[in-house]
Amino acid sequence: MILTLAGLTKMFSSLRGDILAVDDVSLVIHDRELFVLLGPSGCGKSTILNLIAGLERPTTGEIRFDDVIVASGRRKVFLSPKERNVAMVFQSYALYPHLSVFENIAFPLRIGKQGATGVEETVGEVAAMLEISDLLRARPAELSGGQRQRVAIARAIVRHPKVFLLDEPLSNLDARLRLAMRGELKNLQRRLGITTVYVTHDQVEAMSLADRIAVVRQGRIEQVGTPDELYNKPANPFVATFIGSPAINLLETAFAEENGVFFVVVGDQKLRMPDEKSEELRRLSRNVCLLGIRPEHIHLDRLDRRLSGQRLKGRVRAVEPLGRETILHLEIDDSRLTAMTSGGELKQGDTIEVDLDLKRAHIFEVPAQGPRARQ
Amino acid sequence: MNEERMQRLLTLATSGFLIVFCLAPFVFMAVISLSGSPEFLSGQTAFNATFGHYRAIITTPSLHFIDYLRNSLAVSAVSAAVSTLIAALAAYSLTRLELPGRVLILFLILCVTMFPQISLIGFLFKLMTWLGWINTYGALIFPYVAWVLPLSVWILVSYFAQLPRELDKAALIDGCTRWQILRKVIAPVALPGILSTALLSFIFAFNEFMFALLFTTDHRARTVPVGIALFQGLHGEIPWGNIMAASIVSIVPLLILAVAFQRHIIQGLTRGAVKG
Amino acid sequence: MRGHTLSELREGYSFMLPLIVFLGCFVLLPVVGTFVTSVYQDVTFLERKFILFQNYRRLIGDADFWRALRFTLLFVAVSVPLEMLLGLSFALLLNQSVPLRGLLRCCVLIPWAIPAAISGRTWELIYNYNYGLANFLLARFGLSDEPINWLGSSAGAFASVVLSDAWKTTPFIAIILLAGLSVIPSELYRQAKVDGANFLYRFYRITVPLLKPTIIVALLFRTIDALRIFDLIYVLTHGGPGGATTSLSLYGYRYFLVGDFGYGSSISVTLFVIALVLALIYVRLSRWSTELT
Repeated sequence: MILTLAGLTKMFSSLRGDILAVDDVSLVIHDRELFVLLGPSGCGKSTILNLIAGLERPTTGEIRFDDVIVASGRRKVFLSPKERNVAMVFQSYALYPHLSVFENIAFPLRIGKQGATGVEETVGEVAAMLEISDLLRARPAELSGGQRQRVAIARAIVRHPKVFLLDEPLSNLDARLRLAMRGELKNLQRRLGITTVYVTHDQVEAMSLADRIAVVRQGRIEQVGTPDELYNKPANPFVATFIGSPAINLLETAFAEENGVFFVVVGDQKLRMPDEKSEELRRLSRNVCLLGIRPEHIHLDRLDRRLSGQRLKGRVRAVEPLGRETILHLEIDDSRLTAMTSGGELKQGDTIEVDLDLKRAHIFEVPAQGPRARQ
Repeated sequence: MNEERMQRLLTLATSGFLIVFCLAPFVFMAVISLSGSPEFLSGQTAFNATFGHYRAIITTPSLHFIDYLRNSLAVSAVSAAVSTLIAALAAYSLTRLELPGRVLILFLILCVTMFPQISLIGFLFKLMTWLGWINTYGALIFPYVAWVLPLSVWILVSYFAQLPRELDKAALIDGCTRWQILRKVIAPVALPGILSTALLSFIFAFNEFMFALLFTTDHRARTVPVGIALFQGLHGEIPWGNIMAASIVSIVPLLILAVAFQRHIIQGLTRGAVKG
Repeated sequence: MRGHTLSELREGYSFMLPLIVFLGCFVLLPVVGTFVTSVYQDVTFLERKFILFQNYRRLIGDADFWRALRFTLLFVAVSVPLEMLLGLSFALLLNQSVPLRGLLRCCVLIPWAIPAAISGRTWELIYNYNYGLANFLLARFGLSDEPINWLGSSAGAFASVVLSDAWKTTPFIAIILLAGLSVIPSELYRQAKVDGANFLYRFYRITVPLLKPTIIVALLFRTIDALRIFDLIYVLTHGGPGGATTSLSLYGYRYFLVGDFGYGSSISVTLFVIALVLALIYVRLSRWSTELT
């Protein structure tokens, strides 16, 4: 099923004033796609999910399931969650504590049509799929976090929904379980082939699960794309910083053109920009840019042969060994940079030579200063 | 340590005082109910242990004690059930539906708990007379329901407000109507709260005196507190033994409830009050 | 408003409808009716007549009314502080991990659960001049040579009412204060102990300030409740001797009983207004105290 959001806006009014929780969001989510809404907490991603579910009513804009308008601010159309046939998994799982696992899973079936037949077989099938057949008689309180999660998913898919909505479903699990469930969720989604919208604030989770991601910030969509596109072609500094860990280095640098060749100033040193970046720099309105360089694109092995010959002098401020790789906090004149390396022989206070892989740098306009940096 | 010993002593003394203070009148009630001559403390007569008073109040129809007890139980039970149901509906809508005016309604409910009963009774008496309900259960049940409602709503609002909103959302997604959410999800999950609300309502209704005093005229609707308050002997002297036996019999159900559901009652009382 | 549709509003308010109907018909309407009646001459078998403030003018010249008012206020002023003190000491006790705490809590619930009209009869017997428990104990422990005429003298009757009321309502205060105590984090006390603060200092510097909001709520509830005292007095003293313990509720009730609804209503309105004023004072007080802290 194709899910379309067109010009969707949601305004909450309270005594303290109006809050624009969702601001003119338009998206097309493809059939059978696993689509992730990614953003910091309070950015409005859960509100978008609630709008799709029919738990909230849009202020303006339209939501379509294939060609059917399920909600429209202008045309006063609003279908209930039941009529939309959506399923949802919540962060807290929201299992009914007074019902057994079996009754929890059967709940949507029993509500849907009175005296539905085949409830037992259907619940049995779903339970088997999620490997919780032996838990059917337990109460939610007796289950572990991972088991509750499975029950919540089983309850969601038992009705064969048109859209599958997940709101931070893994954030209450411990790290190891989260990793395992991530894989399982993805498999399940592929197997069922249900259009899925998944909300999370965890960029790693988003990158590993998603077919496509929308990065949301303050009710607006900053960028939509595949994980690859977001990582390698971030549209703005926010997306660049939000995706990738450790975060991208953003240096506000002046640049100048000399005989068709661009130079940027990092610290006290002038570096030549590769020619393929000239077009991008020329498009900027002022002579400063935000230069984004991912930590893994900073090379600093003293003996590294790949160095391009444009070396910067730097000092190691701190070393964070992570095992397979090491995060280095560097200081180049008064700029601070984070770098990632596999070698572990550097110590705090070492003086080193640093090479920035400027071919893979991202160039952004410096956002306007002041309070209205971005609404 | 000196301070600790003093504290322990103080604790012990207060415990002793608490037990004597709370139980003495109750024990005295029980003792007199078993005594053939309530004047025995004056030293002129002996104690004369007997169950005669209990037998008398239960088997003497002209005393109407059994009628009073039946009236009290019926009126209190119906009032408690109805008010809890109404309060549950209102509390659900007040905590979940974010309707305009809900703060006003909560404030109004709080105000109503402050009203003196006497400021209702003149009008209610006329109303009951006009309806022809004087000396019927209806004359008590309707005012009782209204009278305990603010408390019930207040307690249930505090219970319902605690339940996670995601339960409602999940139920909506699963296809429930609002009514189904209340009946199939919220009410079962908040069962302890509903139980303590019903218990408190029952005890409050059982305790009520002024309405019952004015709106009932005889054993067909009179409740136990009024019955006992107006208990008179045939020849002018007060039948203390019978009164005490009747008191014991009628408060036993209350005490059993109070002790058995101690935790619920304390929780309900404190929610009704501390949240204010 | 969160953009409800008409049908949602209708559904939402329909949940509230029974509440509104019951409160409207059996609480709000009667209160309004009482206010209205208070400006009428409304006596059974007489024609109803609008007399504006004549009932209130009659109140001002009514010595019995003033005595009832004085008694009611005096009763509130004496019984509420006494009950607060007792209740606070019980609450402090119940908040400790004493053995048999469950039993103590049950004991506390017993006076609360027994209807005042029923326990009133027992108190009546306890205060009996000839063979009551009170005089028996006084004589037994040599506290008084003469038996005290508890219910026959003004002072004795007042003391009897206060004591019996304290018995019935202290538990309620104790339970509410207990709830307030139990949310004070015990780390605070441990910290204070480590810092060398003694028991009294801990009480005044930790317990009292943190318990203050709860104390104000308990005070409010108790004051309003004491103000409208009726059941106990009706049973125990019938307002006597000689009207010395007639509360405003009882005084007004007597007029309703004989069919003088106009005058009874004006007494009720007076009590209503006093309760309202006191409630407002408490609300102010609590807001004031939260602003200070």
